Amino acid sequence: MKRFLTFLLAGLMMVLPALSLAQETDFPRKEIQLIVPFSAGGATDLMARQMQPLFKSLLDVTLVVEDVEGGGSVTGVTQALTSKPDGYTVGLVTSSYIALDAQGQVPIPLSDVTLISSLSEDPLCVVVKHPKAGGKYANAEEFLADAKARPGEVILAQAGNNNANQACVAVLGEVAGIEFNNIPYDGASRVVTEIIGGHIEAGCMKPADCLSQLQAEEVMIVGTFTRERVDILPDVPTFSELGYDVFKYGDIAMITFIAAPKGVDEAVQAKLSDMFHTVLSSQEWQDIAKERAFVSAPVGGEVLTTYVNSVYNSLKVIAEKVFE
Amino acid sequence: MDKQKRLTEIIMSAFILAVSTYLLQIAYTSKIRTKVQGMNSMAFPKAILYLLIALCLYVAITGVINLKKEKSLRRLDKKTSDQEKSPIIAKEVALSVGLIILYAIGWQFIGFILSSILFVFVESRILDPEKPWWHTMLVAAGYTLLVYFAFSMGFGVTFPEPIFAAIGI
Amino acid sequence: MADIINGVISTVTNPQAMLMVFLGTFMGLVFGSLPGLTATMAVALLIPMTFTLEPVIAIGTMLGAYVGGMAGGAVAAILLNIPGTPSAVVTTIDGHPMARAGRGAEALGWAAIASGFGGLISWVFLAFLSPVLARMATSFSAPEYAALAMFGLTIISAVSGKSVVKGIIAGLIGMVLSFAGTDPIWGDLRFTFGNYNLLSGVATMPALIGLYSIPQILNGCTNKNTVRNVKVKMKNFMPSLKSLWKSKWNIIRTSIIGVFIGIIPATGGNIAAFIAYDQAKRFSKEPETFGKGNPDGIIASEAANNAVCGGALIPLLTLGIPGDSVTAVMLGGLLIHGLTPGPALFTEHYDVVIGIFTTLLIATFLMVLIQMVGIKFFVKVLSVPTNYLSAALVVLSLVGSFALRRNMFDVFMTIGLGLFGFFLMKGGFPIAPAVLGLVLGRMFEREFRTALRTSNGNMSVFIERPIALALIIISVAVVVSTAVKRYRERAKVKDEFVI
Repeated sequence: MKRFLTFLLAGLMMVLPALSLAQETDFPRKEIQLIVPFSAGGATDLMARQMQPLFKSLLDVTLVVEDVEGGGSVTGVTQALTSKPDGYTVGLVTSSYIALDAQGQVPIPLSDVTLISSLSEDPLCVVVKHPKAGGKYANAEEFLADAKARPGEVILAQAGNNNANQACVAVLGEVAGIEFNNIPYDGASRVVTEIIGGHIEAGCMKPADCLSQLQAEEVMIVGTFTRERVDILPDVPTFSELGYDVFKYGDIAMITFIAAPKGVDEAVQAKLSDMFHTVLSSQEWQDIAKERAFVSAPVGGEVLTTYVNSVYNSLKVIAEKVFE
Repeated sequence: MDKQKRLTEIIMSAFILAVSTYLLQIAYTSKIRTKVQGMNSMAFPKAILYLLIALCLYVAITGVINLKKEKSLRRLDKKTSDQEKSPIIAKEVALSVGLIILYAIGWQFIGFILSSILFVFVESRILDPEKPWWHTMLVAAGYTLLVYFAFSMGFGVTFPEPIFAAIGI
Repeated sequence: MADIINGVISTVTNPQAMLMVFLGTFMGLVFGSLPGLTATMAVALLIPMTFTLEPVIAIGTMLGAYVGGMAGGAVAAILLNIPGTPSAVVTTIDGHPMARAGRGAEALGWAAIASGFGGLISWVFLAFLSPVLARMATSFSAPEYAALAMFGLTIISAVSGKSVVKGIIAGLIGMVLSFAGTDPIWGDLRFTFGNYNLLSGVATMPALIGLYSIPQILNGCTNKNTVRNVKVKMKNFMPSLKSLWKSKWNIIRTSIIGVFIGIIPATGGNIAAFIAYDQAKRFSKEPETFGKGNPDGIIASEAANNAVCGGALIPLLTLGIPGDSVTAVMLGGLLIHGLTPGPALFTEHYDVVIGIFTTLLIATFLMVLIQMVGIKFFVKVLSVPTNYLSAALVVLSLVGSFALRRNMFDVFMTIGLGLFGFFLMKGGFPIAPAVLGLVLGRMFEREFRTALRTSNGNMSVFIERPIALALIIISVAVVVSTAVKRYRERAKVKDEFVI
C-alpha cells in the first residue's frame, strides 16, 4: 500500500506542473472579463463593447464587458485590480484613474499593476454652443476674450473633478490669464445638455462624448488640447497654435489602457497583449476609431509603461500646482 | 400602539440618534478642502444630521411619554394579552437573520451553489419542520441550480466559487 | 403619409420583428418582476445580444424590455410588498393592502391596464409632439433640478402613513445614506470609512432590496401579515369599463406627469411614480383611503412610470440626450447600430424612426396582454409554501444585489440595511420616504450647490427662473397645506400624541 501511494504521489507531482503549464499555453480557455469603470451606454462603455465582435471574429475569444461605475472610475478599476490574477479579468483604466492616483486617492497605485495594452487616446477639446443654434461664439478667440473680460463669470465645465478634463481647464485658465467659473457635473451628457440649453458657455470633453450633437450642429468644437490638429476636425485649431502653451507642465492626455492585477503570469500577460494588439490593429477597429474621433495605436511593454508614466507625472504636477 | 412597537420605536430613535452623533463627529473631523467658494463638502451633511438628531430626540421623548400613558391604560383594562408577553423579535426571525449572515459569508468560503443549497434547506426546515427532508433537499437543490444557471448563463454573472475553481471546474 | 403606413406595415408583418419585440417585452417583464433585476440591466444585456439584428428590430427588442421592465415591477410589489424595480416602490403602498384583502388579481389587473394607458398616452406625445417638447429637456438646469428635487422631497408627507415626523426621519436617513461617497462638487471623500466600495456611494438597488425585501421576508417568517392565507378572487381582475371611466382623470393626469418627468433628463420612473401618487391623492375625493388599498394609488404609480418610457425617448431621439437611466443605455444601443440621434435621424433615417414608434406601440400592447394572461400564473406564486418562498426570496434578493456590481460588499450592505429596515418597520417608521431621501437627497444637494456655483453664490438664481420659482412655490404650498390638514386632524383625535 505504501509503495502504491508513493508512486501515486510521484505521478501526481509529475502531472500537476504539466497541468498548469497546459493551462497557460491554453490561455484563454474561457471568456475574458473586461471591467469598464463607467456607466453603461457611455462613450467608454461603447468603445469597449465595440471590441466584443472583433474579439469573437478575429480570435474566437468571448470578451464580456461589465460596467462598474463610481468614484471617478476608482471603484471599477479597483475591482478589476483586486480580482484573481489569472488573466481572465482585466480592467479598462483611464486618465481619470491616473489623475486620482497622482493625488494619492486610489487604493491600488499604477506602479502595482500589470499593464497589458494601450487602448485609445481621445483628444480633449473645448465645446461651445454652435452659432447656427444660437451660440454667441464663432471661434476660440471670441470665447476666450469674453471669458477674460468677465472673470469668474464665464462657465467652463466638465464631467467629474480632479481628472484630466479639469486639468485642461485649469492649465488653460492659467496660461491664458483667465478666471473661468469651473463647474463639475456628473456626466458628459449633462454638460452637453447644459451647453445646448444655453445655461453654461462651454465644456471640456472628448469628441466622442458629443458626436450626435456635433453632427446636428448643436455644438461646436473651438479648440483642442493636442499638439497637432485632430484628423476629423481639420478646421479646429489647437490651443498651442492659438498661442497658449497648455503643455507647459507636461502631456495631458485622455488615454485609456488595459491593465490586469499584479502577479499575472508573464506568458499570460504576453498572450493578452497580443490579443488586444491584434484587435486594435485590425482595419475594422481603426475604422471605428476614426468614426468616433479617437486614436488607437496598439502599444505594450516598456513603451506603454513610459507613456503611462508621463501622463501620470504631468497630472501630478498639475494637481499640485493648479488644483487648490 | 402595542408595547413592542412602542419600545422598538424608542430604541430605534435612540439608535439613529447615536449613529447620527457618531457621523456628525466624523463630519467634523474628516479631511476635506476647506478654503473653498461656497459650501464645503460637509456643510449639508452636518445640517441634515443635526435635524435628524433633533427629530429623533423628539420621537424618543414623546415615545417614552406615550409608553407610560399606554401602560397605565393597559393596567386599567386588566387584560394581559399574549401579545404583551411575546418578545420583540420572534425566535424564527432571529434564527433566520443569523442564518442569512452565515449564508452570505458562505459565498466566499464554500461558494454560491453549496451555501445556497444549505441555506434553503436549513431555513425551510426552521420555518416548517414538518416537511420531509428529501422534499426540502430537492427544492433547495433544484431552485439553487435554476437561479445559478439563469444568472450565470442568462445574465453573465460570475458567482464566487472558491471550491469549484480550485478543483478546476 | 403613405411611407408611414408602409413603414408600419412592413414592421408589423415581419415575423422576426414581432417575435423579437415579444421576447424583449417578456424579458423586460421577467426582469421587472424579480427584485434585484431592473429594466436598465435588461436593456444593457440586450445590446450585445441584438448586435447582429437589423437596427429597427434590435431597438424594438430593447424598447420591449424597457416597457416590460417598467410594468413588471408591480407584480412583486403587489403580491409580496417587495418592489421589483425602484419605480414600483409606490405601487406597494396601495397594491399590497389590496392583495392582503384578497384583491390581488384585481390589483394586478389595474396595474397592467394603467401601465398600458400610461405607455399609450406617452406614445402619442412621442409620435406627434417630439420636436415641440424636445426643447423642454434642455431648459432644465441646476436650479430647476434643485427645485424639482425639493418638490419631490415634500412628497414624503404623502407616503408617510400615519406619522409625518417618522416619515421625515426616514427621509433624512435616506439622505444620510446618500451622502456616502465622493462630494459632487469638490470630490472629497465623505463617510467612506476607507472602503473603496463606498466611493460611489450606496448603490440604489442593493439599498432598495435591503430596505424592502429583507424586512418583508423576515416578517413572513412568523406567518403574520401574509397574503397566502387569503383566497384570491380570480374572477374580476379586468377592471370594468365603468371603473375605468371613473378614473379617467387620474389616468390622464398621472400619465402626463410621467411624460414630462420622462422628458426631463436624468429623472425617471420612480420620481414620476412618487409625484403622480401625491397628485392622485390630492385630487382624490377620498384621500384617506390611499394607503389602504385604493386602486387609484396603483393607477397613479403604474401609469406614470410607464408614461416615462415615451417621454424619455423624446430627448433621446431628437437631441441625443437620454431622459432616464434606461434610455442612457439605449443611446449606446443606437450608436452601436450606426444611428446617431438628433435631427439627422429624423431626416436621413425616417424609416428607423417609424420603426421605433411602431415597435414601441406594439410592445405596449404586448406588455398588457402578457400581463393579463400571466396574472393567473403570478398569483400561483403565493400558493408556494411559505417556508420555501421566504428562503427562495432571500437567495434571490442577495443574488440581485450581487448581480449589479459583482460585489460582496453590496450583499452585506443589503443585509445590514435589511436588518435596520426590519426594526424601523417594527417601530412604525415608513420605508418609502427613505427611498425618496436616498434618490432625491443626492440630487437636491448636488443641484442646489451647483446652482449656487453657476450664479457665484447668488441665491436669487432660484427666484429669477420661472420653472424653478414655480416648483418652489408649489413645494411651499404643499408643505403648508399638509401641515394645516394634519393640525386639523390632530385637533379631532386626542388620545395619542401623534403628529
